[in-house]
Amino acid sequence: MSFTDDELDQELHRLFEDDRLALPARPDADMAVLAGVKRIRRRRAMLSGVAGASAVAAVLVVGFTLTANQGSDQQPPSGLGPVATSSSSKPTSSTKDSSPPEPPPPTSEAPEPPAEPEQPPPATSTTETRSPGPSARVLGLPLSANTAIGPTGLGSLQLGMTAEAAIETGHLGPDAQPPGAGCQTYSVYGDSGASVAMTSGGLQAITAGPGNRTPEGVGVGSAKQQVVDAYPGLADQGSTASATVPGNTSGMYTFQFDGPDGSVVSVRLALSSSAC
Amino acid sequence: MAQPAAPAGKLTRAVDGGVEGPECALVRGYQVGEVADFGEFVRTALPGLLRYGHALTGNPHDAADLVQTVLEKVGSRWTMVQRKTGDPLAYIRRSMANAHISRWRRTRKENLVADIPDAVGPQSPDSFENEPLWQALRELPPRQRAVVVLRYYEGLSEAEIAESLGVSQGTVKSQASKAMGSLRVKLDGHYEGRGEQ
Repeated sequence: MSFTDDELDQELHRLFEDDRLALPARPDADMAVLAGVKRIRRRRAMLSGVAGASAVAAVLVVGFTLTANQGSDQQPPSGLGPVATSSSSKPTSSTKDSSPPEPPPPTSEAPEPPAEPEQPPPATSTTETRSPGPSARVLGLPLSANTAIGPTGLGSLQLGMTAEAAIETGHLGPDAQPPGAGCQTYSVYGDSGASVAMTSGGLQAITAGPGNRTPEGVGVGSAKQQVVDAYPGLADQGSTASATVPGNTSGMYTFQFDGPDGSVVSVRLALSSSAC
Repeated sequence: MAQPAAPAGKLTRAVDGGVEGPECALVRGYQVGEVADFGEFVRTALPGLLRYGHALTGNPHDAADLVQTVLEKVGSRWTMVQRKTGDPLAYIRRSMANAHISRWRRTRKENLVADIPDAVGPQSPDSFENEPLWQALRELPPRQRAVVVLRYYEGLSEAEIAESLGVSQGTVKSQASKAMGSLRVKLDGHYEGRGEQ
């Protein structure tokens, strides 16, 4: 038998209405989230509030920016999971220092700007010493989802720029920290879905979000033929292909396809010398 | 280990047992109020968001991870998100779709086949995980899957999907048609393989 459009429609509706799609939240899931919120705010306060004080040097870098994590397929256990794993202590343990939220006092109408927490940073323990650098007052600045990728960068994020300069653009968000050893991936602030990879040597590579296109008009969703046409020197390896960047001899595009003849699922612009 | 589905009431009760009374909120002022407000939002929205995350990611672990990551970020700017977006829930769902697509691209390239880490625990081996359609969905590239979820789960129009994902309507159309094509092929293959009519 062959599925008709209608039958497939119905099946999809049925599947997405299925009760079994529900996931049991951990009873303290909300606390795990609030603890995470607190961590972010504390770190932000640390970066913006006490700039200049050397105490800022203690910065929690480790592993929090989940989306900026790279190089590990094992994602940290989640705090919300339908789960009773004892190993998911990451969010739970930090709920200790998070004040339990009140029952909802109707204060949300308060028209003040978002308040930053005032607690000083915990200048202790599992922290790594880093200079806060010039990024201490960076404000997150979203990058338009339609910004062109290439020939030399994505908006003001340019291949080869220093990590500090990249962070200072604000496009890596208010919480971005300079990279440690190796390549580190940063989500571009906002909903563009783009990301960049940096080392201490600077900005190495940019991965396009769904709306970013190369100046030659290639982006996620483009047909492979379009890529072939746009980049005559394309080195085609089947599901991936690379091309030198018109107008930038030190850059390289890498495209991934959802199959040897599929459409583009990923566009990456990197320094051709980059190891990232 | 098995953790029964926690009804919303249970979540709420667990937190109502907190130690601070309303007077503390007054003392500590606005910030606590905002946190409490967001906490309440999380408790209410969590079941729906986890379910949605499950539909988006195809497995419980990634679902929980995605929801937590997005909620933490949103919570850290809650007042602004509320003020600027008008509909925080829609904003969160949109962020989840985008975060999923981009994260998958970064971290999941190597293991396209959903691997459910041990940490996810007692997922009953019930038939849902074995639903042919669920499995077929899982094999879709993330953007195609997102388009299907936004259309059938969220009931969004093509234009709305395009806006949510920051792509053109043409892309939505082509992704949807590719997705439906592969779903159909996979389902047909499945049922033929089982000799069913």
